[in-house]
Amino acid sequence: MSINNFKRFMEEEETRIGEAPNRIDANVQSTTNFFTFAGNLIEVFLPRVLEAFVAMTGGSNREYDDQKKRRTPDNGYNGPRNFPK
Amino acid sequence: MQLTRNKEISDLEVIERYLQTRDSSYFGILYKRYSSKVYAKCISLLKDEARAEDAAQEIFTKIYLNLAKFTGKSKFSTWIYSITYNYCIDVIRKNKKNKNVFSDEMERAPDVIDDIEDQELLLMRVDRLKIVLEKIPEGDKAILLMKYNEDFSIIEIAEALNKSESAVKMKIMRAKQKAKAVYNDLFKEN
Repeated sequence: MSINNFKRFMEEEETRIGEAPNRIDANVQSTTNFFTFAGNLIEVFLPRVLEAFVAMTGGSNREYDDQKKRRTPDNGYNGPRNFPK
Repeated sequence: MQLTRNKEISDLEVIERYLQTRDSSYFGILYKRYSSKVYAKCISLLKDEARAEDAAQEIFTKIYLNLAKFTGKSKFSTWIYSITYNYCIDVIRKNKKNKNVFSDEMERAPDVIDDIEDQELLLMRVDRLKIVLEKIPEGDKAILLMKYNEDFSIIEIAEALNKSESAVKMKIMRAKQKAKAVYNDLFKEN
């Protein structure tokens, strides 16, 4: 297919304007680095922060509850302290 | 060696690898491939280097944030350029007092609309075409570039501009008429 003059016009524009300034690259990189950092932060720390918040407000910690459920009577449970021996 | 290898990887593969690894060097490959083209389009539409730089930066940030949404339904270049045109038209609209950027928003539609053959526009000399594109409304220039430079389909233009297909067809028709009228005014007697 032969090239049309709109394509020629835009090619000439791209040649005239040249490469994008390095400033744009630097700014885009710093923005993407910020978003990557924020994403990692949320992924790693947010669940911990939420767990701590739930525990502080008197809610139950699911991980702790699961551990409790897994305990058998003879595994870490000594009975009531005042139970007569 | 690394660069040569990168050139062999398709855009879609680069995106897949980026999404798997979150390694920003893959986004860097996409930036290198498209930054000069996106920047040239921004300057051509916005006619101001500072605004074009800001726009290019915003466009690449948008691309970065929405990369996971790219499905590969269209070419990556089509996706990236539709974001570019959409963003530039928004910037032009925001900076205009009357908010009209297309001929069909500025002027009353004529009673009878003659469709102009594509060839009439495609065969305009490049130096004249450049002058014509500078004289017509920015939205008309953008829509003609989308159709004739990027080879976007009507559906792709409609998606880029958030308009219906019939509205896009009308805008293209009016933009072609405007371009031809400007061309006739400037060059017909020569």
